[in-house]
Amino acid sequence: MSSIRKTIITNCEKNFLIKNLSEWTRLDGRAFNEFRNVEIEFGKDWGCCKVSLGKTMVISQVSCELQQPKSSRPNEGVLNINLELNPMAEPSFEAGRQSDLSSQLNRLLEKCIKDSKAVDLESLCVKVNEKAWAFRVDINVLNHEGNILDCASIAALSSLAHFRRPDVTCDGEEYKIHNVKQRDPIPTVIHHYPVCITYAIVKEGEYILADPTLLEEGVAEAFLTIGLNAYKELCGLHLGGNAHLTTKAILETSNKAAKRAVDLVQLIKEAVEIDTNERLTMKSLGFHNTLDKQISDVHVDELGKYLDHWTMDKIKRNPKKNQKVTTPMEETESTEEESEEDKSMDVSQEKVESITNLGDGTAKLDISTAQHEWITIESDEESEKEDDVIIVEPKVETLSIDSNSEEEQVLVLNPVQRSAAKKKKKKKKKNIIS
Amino acid sequence: MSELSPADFYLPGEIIRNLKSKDREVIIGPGLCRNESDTKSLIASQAGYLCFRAPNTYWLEGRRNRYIPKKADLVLGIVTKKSSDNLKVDIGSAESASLSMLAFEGATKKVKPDVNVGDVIYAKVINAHKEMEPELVCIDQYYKAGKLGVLSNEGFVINLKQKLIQQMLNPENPLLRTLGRKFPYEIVIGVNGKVWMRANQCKDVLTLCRAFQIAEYQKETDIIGICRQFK
Amino acid sequence: MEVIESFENNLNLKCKLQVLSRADGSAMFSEGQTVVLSAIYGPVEVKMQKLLIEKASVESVFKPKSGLPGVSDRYKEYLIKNICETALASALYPRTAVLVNLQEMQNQGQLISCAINAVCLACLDSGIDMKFLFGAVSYFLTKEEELTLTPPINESSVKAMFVFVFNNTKGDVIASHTEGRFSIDQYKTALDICRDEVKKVFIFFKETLLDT
Repeated sequence: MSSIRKTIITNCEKNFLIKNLSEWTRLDGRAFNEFRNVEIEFGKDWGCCKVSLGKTMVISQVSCELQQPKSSRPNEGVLNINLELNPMAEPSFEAGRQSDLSSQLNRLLEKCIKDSKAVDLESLCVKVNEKAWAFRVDINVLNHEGNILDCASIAALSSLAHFRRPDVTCDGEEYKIHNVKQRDPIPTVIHHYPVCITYAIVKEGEYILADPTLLEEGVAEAFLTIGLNAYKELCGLHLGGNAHLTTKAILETSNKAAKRAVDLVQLIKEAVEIDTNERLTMKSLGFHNTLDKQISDVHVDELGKYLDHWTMDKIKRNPKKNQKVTTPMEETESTEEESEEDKSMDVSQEKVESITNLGDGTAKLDISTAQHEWITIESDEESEKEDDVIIVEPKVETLSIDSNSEEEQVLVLNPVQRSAAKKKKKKKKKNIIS
Repeated sequence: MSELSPADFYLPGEIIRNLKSKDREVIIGPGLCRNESDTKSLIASQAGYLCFRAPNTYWLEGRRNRYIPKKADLVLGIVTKKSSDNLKVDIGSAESASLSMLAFEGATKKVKPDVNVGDVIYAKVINAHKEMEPELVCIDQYYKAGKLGVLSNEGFVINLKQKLIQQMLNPENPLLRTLGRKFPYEIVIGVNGKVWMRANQCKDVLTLCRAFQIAEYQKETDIIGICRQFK
Repeated sequence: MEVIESFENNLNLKCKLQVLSRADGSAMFSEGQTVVLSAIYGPVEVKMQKLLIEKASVESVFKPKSGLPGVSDRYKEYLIKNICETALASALYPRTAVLVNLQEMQNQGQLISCAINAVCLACLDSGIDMKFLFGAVSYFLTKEEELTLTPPINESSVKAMFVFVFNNTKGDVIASHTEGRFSIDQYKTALDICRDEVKKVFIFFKETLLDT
């Protein structure tokens, strides 16, 4: 049993989230089919990378050792993927113990990466039936803010693509592993990059949210995880929970996921390439260098937006409410409704894309630009507007804590202290200085 | 607040001397403890700036993330468990607090308040001893609820850092007022870092959330400065 | 989210606080090329079997970057747990638990001292009450009988390694850890040099906290 209870999601958070979804907004301002930012950072060692998806963060490390291949597959190496739910990410995770969640995530990752034969295992064989490389990918979750699986799959693939195994030679009997200085290490052959893309299904399939956050995960009824590579080949599909989803909705979602997969794979490849090139220039790389990088996600003047002269204006998305189709039996009627819904969904999709000016079907949905749903009111407009605005008297209610009688007996030792107690400066201790 | 200078910054274990005191008495707040070997000085137990309020109160203005219940604090809690005459409420402290079903206005053995698991409650800490679980009430000493009680499910709850909470509870802080000039809203701030808010429109609540989340990373003087621009 | 680097410091320390959103306090700390991420939760609810009636129980978890945690990782957990128990004012929080989590990010020899310093910064970040600060310094004895602060690039040339943990009040040693063979004189020299060096670590801590 976990030592720390999970924080439960309050009813008002649930209501608020669903109310927002009915207005086609998500709490962090993303569109329904929008993903959080992915950042890939490589460590000093080969095959070590830290990936963050929004605030979710994982670290992945590939390690290898020579061992006898399995007798059933004498000409293949072994690949093991191990995802650890580190208690660092959430205190209710327990170190070194398999939970339902961790075995499910592990299985999904394995299904997606290992069973789709993404890594060329035959090239890992040194000598048939005698020696082959066993790869092990260790993924540690550092911060859990929802959607661990997507983050972990990106980390696993980037670290596999980044990893180089040492060269090995055999003089008849002995196997000699050469270190990096003696011989250049060998990169791994990766046939394709299958990434996991998760969607949360809220309110019986009415809303399908890409890349759910922790709160959205808590409210969701089901999750649809799609494993896809850049060639739009399906490498795994998992629908957990209880939601009535039509086949149509699943197909649609996987089409959207395919676009995302192309982007993600490109992102991974680019990140690995940049890092490998930098390594060639003999720069010292690693996490200790990136610690210098100032993270400036919050600016001082940004607060101003929320205080005045910026108004939040939503992009009109799909004004019509989606019709839920409960059973696949009512096909003739439902398909029409669905197709209408498709159109409207597509319209909404294109609206987001039109901001990025990348409007055609294969274009990527640029997250960073699509995010901006803030519209400035021109200054002259504002002055006009200001005349009409009725300034509402701020309703600031502060509760004064009346020091109740019981409290005073225990706490207040002199009049000065009472005022201090009113200021809510925690309980004061009395200390006599002799 | 402007007199925060690096010289007043202390780390745990550092000794604080030259105390100004009347009648050789000193009241110490959070982050400080007495120095057993030299009774004329204090020892810091957190990292923070030393603050002084005349005539003899000292405390350290540090960073504190986990809430430690203190008597008479007004807190927001989430109901995690419900039994026939008791509620367990998560107030962000180590141990969940207990709230009696009878500690609501007008509640009797037969008439019980309508509270469900997952509801948000604004309550007062009546008993906070480190050896016991904290106890909450939703009534004052005259058995009136006042502002305390179950909060509507229409609102939204977020967690904020203690630093910002303290600033917002200061009636002179202009942040809430500046936001209130833009649109009307209701807000309940618990000293345990949980904040409940409600507005006419969802987007207003989202604006509030984001404004607070940005303000968490800003210095108090900066916030005041920005607010002043929009007066 | 501040990054501080003290240039006069030949230990080459770098740190970033509040890297994780879930933890009460977190710090990514680097010493040379060794990087450790540390997170503190506390005081939080305690397991029944670990409940202590008079003080908070400290639980520490050290996760290696690859493979399953082994004996050496258990040892580090134990060492850090011991240090935290002495340094934290745990009597203020009876019947609770303080969870100390560590993750190795990059290892270049100074893993233990780096981990200890990371824990101290994470504690400071979380605002938990402490009796004093603790800072660790590693010191290396090479095969050529040379004493050095920076770890030799070649791991096999290390004859012995010392890690000393000091507190900031009187400069007392609160923990020491050694590996390898060395003479008593070498140990004493290492201790003296580390005691000087740790002052820079504490200055670094102060700079880090001041700027955030």
